Amino acid sequence: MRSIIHVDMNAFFASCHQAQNPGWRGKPLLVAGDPQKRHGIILTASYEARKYGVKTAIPVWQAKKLCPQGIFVPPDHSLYTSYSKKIFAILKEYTPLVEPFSIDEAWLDVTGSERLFGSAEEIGQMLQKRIAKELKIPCSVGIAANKFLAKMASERQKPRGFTVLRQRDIPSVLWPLPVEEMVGVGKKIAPALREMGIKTIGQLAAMPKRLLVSRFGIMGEILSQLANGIDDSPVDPYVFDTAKSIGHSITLPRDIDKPEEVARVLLDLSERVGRRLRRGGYLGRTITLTVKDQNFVSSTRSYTLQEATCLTEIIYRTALQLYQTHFESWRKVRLLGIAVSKLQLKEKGSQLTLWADETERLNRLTKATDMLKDRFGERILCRATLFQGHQPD
Amino acid sequence: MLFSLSQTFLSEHLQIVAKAIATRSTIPGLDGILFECDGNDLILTATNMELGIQTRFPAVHKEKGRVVLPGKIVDIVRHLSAESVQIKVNLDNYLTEIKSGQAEFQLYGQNADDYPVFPTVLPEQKECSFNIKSGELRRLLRQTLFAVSQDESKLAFTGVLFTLSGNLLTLSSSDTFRLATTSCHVTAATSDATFLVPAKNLQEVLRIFAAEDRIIEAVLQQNQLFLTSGTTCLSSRLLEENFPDVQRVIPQKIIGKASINTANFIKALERATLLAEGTNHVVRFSIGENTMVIRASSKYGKIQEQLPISLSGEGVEIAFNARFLLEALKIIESEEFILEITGTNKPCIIKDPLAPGYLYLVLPIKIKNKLK
Repeated sequence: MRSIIHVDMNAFFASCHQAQNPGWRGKPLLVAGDPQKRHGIILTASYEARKYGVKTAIPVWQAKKLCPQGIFVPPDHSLYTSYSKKIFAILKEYTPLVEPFSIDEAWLDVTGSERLFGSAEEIGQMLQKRIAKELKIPCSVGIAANKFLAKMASERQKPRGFTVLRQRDIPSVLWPLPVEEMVGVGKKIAPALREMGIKTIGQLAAMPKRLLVSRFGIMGEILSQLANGIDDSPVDPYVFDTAKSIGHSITLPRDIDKPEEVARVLLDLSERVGRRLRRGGYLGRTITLTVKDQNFVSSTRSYTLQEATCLTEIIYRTALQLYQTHFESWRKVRLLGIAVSKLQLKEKGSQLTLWADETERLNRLTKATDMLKDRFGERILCRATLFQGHQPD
Repeated sequence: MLFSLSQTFLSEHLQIVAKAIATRSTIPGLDGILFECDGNDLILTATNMELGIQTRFPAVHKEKGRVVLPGKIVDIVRHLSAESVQIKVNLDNYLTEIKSGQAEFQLYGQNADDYPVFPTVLPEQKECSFNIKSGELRRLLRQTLFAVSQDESKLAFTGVLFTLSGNLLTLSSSDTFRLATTSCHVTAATSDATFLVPAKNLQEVLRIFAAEDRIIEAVLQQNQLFLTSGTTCLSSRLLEENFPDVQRVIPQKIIGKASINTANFIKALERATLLAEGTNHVVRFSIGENTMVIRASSKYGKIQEQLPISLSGEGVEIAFNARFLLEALKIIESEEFILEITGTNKPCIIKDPLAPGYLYLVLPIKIKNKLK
């Protein structure tokens, strides 16, 4: 039997600001995007603000109405990253088996640490106390025999929750919960489960597996297992080291439909993605383009190249081709995203090609511009087409 | 429409045209085979608009007519066990009865009027024509087809380039990592021409024109290549793409020439491939005066093997995708093949003393030239 702890920071973005500014602690604090731009929605509200009915993703104007005395701050991602690093450093003192789930969530497998630091419950309490005391960040802790149950446990109580979910608690604690609250059940699956008459996790657990498999495929199998509290997945500390895809997307400040404007944004995104691929030493074969139009309808198209690439130009050309082939030009574009997947690590030797004068040139050019950017910063140079619309940020 | 003929004979001819049946088509009927009785012959036609195959042969029949039968007819006839087959079509509703021995099929045929017209060779529209022995064409294709690209985004490289200059026909193919080029003499060439033929259609040429000693008449007309031999005609659409200059990339300066035993090298390469790294199967070669050392390594371990060779000129330290070498070596007929060296991180050329017109150029995998 394993001992897994799930740690989940409470209102993480807001907590970071409150931890940094003692004057803001205990007050309603709201992290919101720039109200002038499209990002004028609440990203995170502190628990003090949530009392006024402020929820994540509501527009800023609405939040101001609900909570006029609230402190509104713009997001500061470098602050969150620095707190996140400190938190993970504490977690790793207790076991090397720490699997990050996001910037503010992680699993720990402490099965082997119990002789050193005490029982899983004791370690969990120590973690919670230390993070609160040393960093002033509140968190919820869940403890169980596997990752799924540990996460379900930490979700039970917020903020500053501490929940142990034992195998014997499954029927009384897990099963009465609505299926929507189950990890792994998203917006797409939940309505489908409802249609099948499944309202609670217990009903899902009782459902014959073959019915779920015939409806959801492999996901049905997983759902059935999870609902019964079975999850054999290991805590994988390297889960983020082996990236599956690298992508970027941007919600535009205003809807655009001019082909040259779309092309410019695609070029910018391609460069960001290309740069990240090259930095990680990756090559990717599948280029995926996501477009969300003015009616919030989003669609995705992808193309798989014969040869893996990390070149901005190739990513851009493929993305542009996808856009031109699959998206009607009358649709106004609200969001654009490019992702590169089927990643492989750049091999030491590279196969030379015939008539490759262009690729060779691009390779040399990319190497040179990457070197300049590494040394003098991202803004040392940019493409002329991007320069026009470039605003110092 | 009514005819009867031998099961093996009909089945053979159905197999010939079957490969041109469209698998996914919006045009009705293209997923079937057109049967025509013109008073003398039975004509079978299939086309997917890229590739068309037509074959005709005499059949005992009483009534003229045309019908499109579903592609299933190929399997149906193949599975019949009696010696002869009788096919009877009701031209009012195209209901088709197939009788053979005690088996009776009823197939729902279609009106043939919507079926696309098979392009015919018109003497006044011929842009170029020549005759080639089927054995020669088969050899040229075997020497080039394997090197084409599978990448549909590099369309030009999915084809084989035909260059006819005087009586010399040269075929070239490349996937940009290697280049195969070969040539032979043809007869009755009318004019010079350069055209690009989709490799997947040429695969069918190998299948259809199996006999070695038949003369194939090739005709170029309106962006189509027609190959006719006996009563079978294949038409392939040409690729309207630019194939880059082949001569430009063939190096003129050779610094070393090695003669290597073909069979031994293939075996050694196959062993090295077992431990070759990555998707491009990196195998390293140290080519010295009397020996070549072959090395490969991966996370599973490493292999090293020495092979005697005879070298004139300079040797080299070089790495290749083993697959690119193996594919080329498997069509070498000579006991010993020639490897021409042009330098570190530069292409090598493979030649077959028994196939004078043949040249295979392969680009290496870039390595830092460090002797271990």
